[in-house]
Amino acid sequence: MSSSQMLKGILEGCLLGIIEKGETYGYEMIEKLESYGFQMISEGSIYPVLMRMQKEGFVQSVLKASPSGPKRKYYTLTALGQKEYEEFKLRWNELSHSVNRLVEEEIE
Amino acid sequence: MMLSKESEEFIANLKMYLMTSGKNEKEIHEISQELRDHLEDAESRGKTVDSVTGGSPETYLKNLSSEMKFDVFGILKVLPMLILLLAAYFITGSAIRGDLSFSLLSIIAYPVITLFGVVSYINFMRKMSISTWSTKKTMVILMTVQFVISISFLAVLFLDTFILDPLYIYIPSREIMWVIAAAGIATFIAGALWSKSWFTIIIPILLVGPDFAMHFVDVTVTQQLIISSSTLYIGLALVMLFIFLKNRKQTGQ
Repeated sequence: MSSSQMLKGILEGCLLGIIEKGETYGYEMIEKLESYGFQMISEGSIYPVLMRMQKEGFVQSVLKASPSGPKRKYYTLTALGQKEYEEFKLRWNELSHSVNRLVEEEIE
Repeated sequence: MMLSKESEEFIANLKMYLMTSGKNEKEIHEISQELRDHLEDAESRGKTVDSVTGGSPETYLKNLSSEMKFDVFGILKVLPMLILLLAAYFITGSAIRGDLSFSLLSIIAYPVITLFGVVSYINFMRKMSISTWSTKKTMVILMTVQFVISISFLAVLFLDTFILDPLYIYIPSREIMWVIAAAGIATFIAGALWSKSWFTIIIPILLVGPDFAMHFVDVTVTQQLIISSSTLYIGLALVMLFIFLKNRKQTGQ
């Protein structure tokens, strides 16, 4: 797995987590990610990931009228996406636990 | 809300790139709408289009494109109409002029060159939409493509006329030619209804309209040549002007 693929996987997991908290759209997802401290993500990079997640059936979308004019695409999690998110959390816990142990040992 | 010129350009390039990459039209519309919506929010907060592309439209568009599948059915749906229209462009004019005879060479060579031309133009537009070429470089590349295509057509015409004994396939009677011309015109009309645009009607009118009209008036060959070529160029210039004005009005809204 290349490092960019790993980052994509993490971004996908984070987006699943954001969408799980309630129906949302692209720009709002960026704002929510930022509120958790994510700064390094280029804003556009969420869209290819959202496309893939939709293809895999993790999320579904609807177009709704927005106050600013054009219709806005809102995303919600599917049951499959819910399951994927639970699995991501397990994988992430394991990974972050291992990385933390490694890095902290190095510091000591 | 109005987007900045850079963002509008980015959206236009995105559509062009994805379309010339053979992606699904509906999906292209959806993603460009979604990114437009995003850019409106971003710009109202003082960000630029770089916040979406990460500074490299090329990398970003390639990334986006890799998540969209090649739309085989979409292409299969347009292909028959496209072939019919191209055939009509070739045949209708000759049928109206009354010299519908093709050599074996031209029957093989013209479709091959046309195919090569269409593929080259699509490739050119695809490359242009993600490149950072200067206007000068873009013009040079476009003119080279056009030059190669025109030279190929001229070469076939030359070979046909002077070198090879034309192997005439079939010279139909005048009545049959009118039927063929009518079929060609019907194809243009069907093409216009199908593409919901006037182009497949306007361009043939400019191409064969003068020839058709001059059937009924008495003019010399020289006059005929001057009239048909000037109608074509003035007409094309008017079409370009119309597109330009329409685009400016749209972006100015």
